[in-house]
Amino acid sequence: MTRVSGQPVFILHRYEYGETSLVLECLTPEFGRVGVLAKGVRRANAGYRNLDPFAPLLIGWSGRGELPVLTHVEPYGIPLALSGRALWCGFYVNELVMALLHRHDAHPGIFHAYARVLKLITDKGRQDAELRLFELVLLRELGYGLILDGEAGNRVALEPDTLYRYAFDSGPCKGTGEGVPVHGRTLIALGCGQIGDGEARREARRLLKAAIDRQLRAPLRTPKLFRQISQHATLVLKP
Amino acid sequence: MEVPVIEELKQALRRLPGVGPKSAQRMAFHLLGRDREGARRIAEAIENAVRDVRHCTRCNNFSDRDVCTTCLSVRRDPALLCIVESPADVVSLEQSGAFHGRYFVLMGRLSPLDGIGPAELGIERLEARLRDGETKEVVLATNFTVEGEATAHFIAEIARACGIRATRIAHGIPGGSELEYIDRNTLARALGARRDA
Ligand SMILES: [Zn+2]
Repeated sequence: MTRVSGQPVFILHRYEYGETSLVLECLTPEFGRVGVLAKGVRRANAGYRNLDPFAPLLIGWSGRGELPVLTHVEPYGIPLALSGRALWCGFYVNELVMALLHRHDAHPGIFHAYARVLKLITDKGRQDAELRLFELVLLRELGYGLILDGEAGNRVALEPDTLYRYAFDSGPCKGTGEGVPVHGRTLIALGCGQIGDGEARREARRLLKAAIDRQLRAPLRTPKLFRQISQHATLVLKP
Repeated sequence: MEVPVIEELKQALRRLPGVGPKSAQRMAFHLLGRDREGARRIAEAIENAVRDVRHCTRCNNFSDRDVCTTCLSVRRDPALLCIVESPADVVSLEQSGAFHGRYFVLMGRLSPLDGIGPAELGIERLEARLRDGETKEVVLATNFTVEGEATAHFIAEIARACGIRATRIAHGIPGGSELEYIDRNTLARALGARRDA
C-alpha cells in the first residue's frame, strides 16, 4: 500500500470513470505522470470539485497499482488564469506531456519547466518562443536532447551563417544528405535557451517538430484543431 | 439456467448510464416479476421518443417537431441567444426564470485532448444561426471548465466577426456562502470579475 500526501500537481487531462468518478492524469515533481482515481467527485454534493487542468493543486493518494485513489485535494499557490490563445497553448503543452512522458517516470525538471511555461504563455508576445523552449527542455529531460554545441562527431564550433542539416542520430552536419535544414545561428541560439525571430524561429519550430514527431506513436490532436480554429476565424472574417 | 430473452433484456438495460450487471438483473427481474404493465409503458415510451425526437433546426435542442416551442414562442426576445452545452443546461436556466431570450444547444464542447474541435461539434450550424440577422447578443453559458472556457472564447470570436455582441455569464461566490470557505480559484475569479457596487 502506497500513501502519498502533500504532492503538488497539475492536472494534464481528466476523463469520466463510471457514473460519478474521474480519472485524473497528474504531473508531479516526484512521481512523474500519475493516474489517480477521484471517486465520487462528479456527484452534486462532492467537496472540492475544481479538478481542471492548469490549476496548481496539492493532492494525496493511496493504493498500489496503476490507479491509486485520491485521498485529498486542495488548491495550491496562485491560481493561473489562462484564456484565449494561452488556453489553447496550454492544451497543446498538456497533450505533448501526455504523449511523451510515460506514467511513473519521474522528471522534476519537466514539472518545473511545465509550471514555468504555464506562467509565461499568458504573455501573448512570448507564446510561440516559450512553447519552443518547453519542447526543447522536454526532449532534453527525456533523453532525446538536440546536439547544439558543435558539429556532429567532431564537435567543431557551429558557424552562424552555415546551413547545416540536422540528422537526429548524429547532430548538425555539413554537406548534403538526410536531415532537417537549419542555420548555425538557429542552433547556437537554441543552445543558449533562446529562440530568434523570423527565419530562426521558423527553423527552430520545424526542427523541434521533427524531433517530437520521431517520438510520437500517434499524431497530436491539438495542432490540427488549432489550424481548424484559425482557419475558421479567417473564414468567418471574410464577408 | 440462462433464458436468452432475459439475458438480452439485461444487456439492453446495461446501456443506461450507471447500470452495472447487478442493477440490470434487479431491474429485469422486477419488471418481469412485479410490473409487467410498467415494462410495457417503458418500452412504448422509449419507442415513441426514439421515433419522434429530433434536433430543433433553430436551437439544436431535443424537440418533437422541426422547430421547438421555445423557438416559436413570440414572448421570447429573439435578439438574445444563450449558448449552452447540453439540454440539461436549458432546463436549469429556464428554472432560474432569469432568461427570456432564445437558446442554442451545442450538444458538447470543444475538447482538444479528446479530439473534439469545431468540425466535430458542428459549429457551422451555430454560425448559420448567427448570420440570420436576428441575434444582437450571444450570452455564453458554457460550463466553467477549461473546455467550457475555450468553447466560449471561440464562439465569442465568431460572434464578434459577425458583428454580434458576446457576453459571458458571471462566475463568482455562490449565494449564501462565507468568504472564509471559498476556494482561492473561485475567489480569484470573483475578484477579477468585480463590478461597481
Ligand atoms: Zn428550438
